[in-house]
Amino acid sequence: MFPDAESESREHVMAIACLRIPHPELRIALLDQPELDGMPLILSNPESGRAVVLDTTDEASAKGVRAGMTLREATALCPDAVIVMPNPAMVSRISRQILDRLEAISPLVEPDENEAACWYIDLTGLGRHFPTTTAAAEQMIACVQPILRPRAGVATTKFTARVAAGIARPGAVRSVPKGQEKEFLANAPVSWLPFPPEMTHQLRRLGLSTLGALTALPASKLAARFGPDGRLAWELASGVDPRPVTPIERDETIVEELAMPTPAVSREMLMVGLRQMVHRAFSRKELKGRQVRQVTLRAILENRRSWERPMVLKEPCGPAALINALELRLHAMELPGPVEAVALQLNGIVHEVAHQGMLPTLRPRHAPPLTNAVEQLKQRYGLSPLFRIVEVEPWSRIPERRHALLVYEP
Amino acid sequence: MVKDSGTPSRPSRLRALNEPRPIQVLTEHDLPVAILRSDGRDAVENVQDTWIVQDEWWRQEIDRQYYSLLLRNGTIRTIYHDRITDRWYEQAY
Repeated sequence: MFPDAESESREHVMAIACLRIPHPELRIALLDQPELDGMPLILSNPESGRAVVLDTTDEASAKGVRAGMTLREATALCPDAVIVMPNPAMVSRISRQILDRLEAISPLVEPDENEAACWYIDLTGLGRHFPTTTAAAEQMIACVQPILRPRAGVATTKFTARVAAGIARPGAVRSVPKGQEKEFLANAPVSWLPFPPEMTHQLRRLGLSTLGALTALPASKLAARFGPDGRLAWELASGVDPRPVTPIERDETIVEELAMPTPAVSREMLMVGLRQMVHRAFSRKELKGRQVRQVTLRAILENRRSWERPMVLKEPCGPAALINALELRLHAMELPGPVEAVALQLNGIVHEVAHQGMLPTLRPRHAPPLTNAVEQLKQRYGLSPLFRIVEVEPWSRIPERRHALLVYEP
Repeated sequence: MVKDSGTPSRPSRLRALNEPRPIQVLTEHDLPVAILRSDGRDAVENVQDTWIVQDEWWRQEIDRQYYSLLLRNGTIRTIYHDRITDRWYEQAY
């Protein structure tokens, strides 16, 4: 429980903080290039074939640049804009670092499932460590490099905390006292609700553009129009949020990294490195007698770019099967550029899966009763309803061509 | 002894296994967001993998975009979009 000696009262005993970094990919890129801070930045990947704006900083938005525009339109509106290429490997590394730091403060940290670089932290029980909830939230802001412009909101529910963080100034905390949630949320636009854009679009078409307009209606009307989502929207807009902060399950992860001696341009060279990393990973004691279900391949490319590809394996794999799977997938991929370093992240670590062999074949002494049964079934149905599976084109890429059912004729 | 049904016997033949089953899918920006059922829908949590199978352009062309989906109920389903007929099917890969 937080003490009430400070400006905040004991009304904050059930407090949730929301910490967020707007435009995370662009802000994280500034960690390597701080000299670009304050300039209009545009996130785009011209090499992907469709040169469109993926995100912008506030400085570029002020000049009319919007996500979804073509790069040509954007640079016409804002000629001094700097194009930043996506760097997913760095984004996921920094996000993991921040999550680790937040978990050192509170064990209940939940990344927002719909928004990158947005975390909810349950502050319940931190009263002994921090005099106020604001102080706790300030400590969380201190977990993030200032150039990323983090901001935080504190309220009694996740949604209210998220809206508070949305309007907080960079580096600041916006607190919403208990009992004032509905009043605080009244002017927020419906687009802040955590629902698909179609629903908020429909709400606006119905003339409900703010959360205040939503709560002016009876909850039953929204439930009748939108189902359970409608009721939840009304509750969220009223400052009621039944969703608790649910910490993510951190599954065991093994990461192997390798710097290439020279930038690798061929798949073969990359594969040599991957083979070495797989063997190194499986020689660790954490992977002894175990297999993996998921692999993420990260490549650091020339010119501060990166590339990331998660792969879910069809079944748990040991080292040999994993190398085969990587080889197969790598051959189907287009390498985006010379690879300077590569990282292999293994997840979904499970105990070795035993494969059932073929069922023992029927012994001769069982054949006569089976033959009789098949004969009787054939007479009854005109066709034996027993089938056996035969391989037809097991190599085919078309699943229905691989195996077939053949009428079983003993 | 089972009574003879009188149905003429048919020659044994191969029956394809794992044939695609037609399904209805809700998409957003060309990506599946939910699989529709007669009594509701299964929302997609995450597209875990996607791959394209193109083959047999010389006869009846095959052009499929497969998706391995993690649904919100925790199940994993493999579906594909037939890019020739613009229909959706479910099929284990």
